[in-house]
Amino acid sequence: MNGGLLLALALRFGGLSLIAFGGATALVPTIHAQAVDATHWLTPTGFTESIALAQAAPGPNLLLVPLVGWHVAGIVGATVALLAFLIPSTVLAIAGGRFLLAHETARSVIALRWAMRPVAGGLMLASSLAVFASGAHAWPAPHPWIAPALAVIALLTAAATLRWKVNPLAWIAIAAVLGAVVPLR
Amino acid sequence: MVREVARLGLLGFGGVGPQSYHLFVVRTRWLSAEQFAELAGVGQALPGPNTVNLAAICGDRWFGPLGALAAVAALTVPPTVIAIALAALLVPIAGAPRLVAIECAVVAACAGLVLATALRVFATIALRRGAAFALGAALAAAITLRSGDMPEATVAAIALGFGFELLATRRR
Repeated sequence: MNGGLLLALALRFGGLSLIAFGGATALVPTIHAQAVDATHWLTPTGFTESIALAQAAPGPNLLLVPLVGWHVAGIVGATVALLAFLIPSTVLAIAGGRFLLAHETARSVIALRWAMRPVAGGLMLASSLAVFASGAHAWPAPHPWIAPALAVIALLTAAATLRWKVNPLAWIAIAAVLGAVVPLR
Repeated sequence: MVREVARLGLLGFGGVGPQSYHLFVVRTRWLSAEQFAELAGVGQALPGPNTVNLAAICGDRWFGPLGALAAVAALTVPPTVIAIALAALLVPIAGAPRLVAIECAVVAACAGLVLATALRVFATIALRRGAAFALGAALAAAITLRSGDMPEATVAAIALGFGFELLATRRR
């Protein structure tokens, strides 16, 4: 096993842990920049597949992180990436949780909580665009109508999610069926 | 607790936030609605996945640091095993055009889900303050234009927002 590679994996995801406001979902542009553009750990198509799997599997929105680690160094890589991503933020959550709950009414604590929201919202907005671009670029048979068609899927999913309270897996399944039947030339 | 939290991890698709309220408040009555709002708020205010933070805070409150560790592991390990098993199953047909097409369509739907979450977050702040809305939008634009790799912008945005909030609350 390549120790330097595992160390790089640990350092990158450990660093991301402490800026993950809004969870791993909010970090898609950063993870793409690091894992695809900077290090070539994944191909663009491998990254698209990892996003799709992270969404299709049950669980919290962080599965992209161990999936990237798995592409880099198998099970060991997945373990290292997951631990590196979880340990700093969890230690901070325990310490910060104790502090914030003891000083709940402090003005600065309330200000901090409000300050996080637009940041999390902005990160997720950027993530939405990055996730979309990842899917649109990986399409196997380039065609001028593919990006608009995928944009329609994305916008309809967003509108339906905001309008109805349905398990998001339903929209994922509908999209998968569309991808399975659309002609590829 | 480990069993219930592991169940939470395996039941939630597309994030476990909504189900976490059901588990902690409705199903087990471990927390009152007010306690849940308070603890989940802290989990959201700190970096890291929100529900993982919530599980860590609750585990720590009830059983100390080891409880936090157990809760976080119970929440994250089983779904990770499933996701990697799925990825391993797909290896023999990786890159097949039809598979990639399905993945692209699924990813487009994911973009829509994330967009909906972002809009929900903005809906809660836009009502409160225009400056916060502008800050988030500016951060999104900066990250997109610089194609991703800018943690310093995130830190700067939080510092700015923190300053805004302190000034705004002082005036009242």
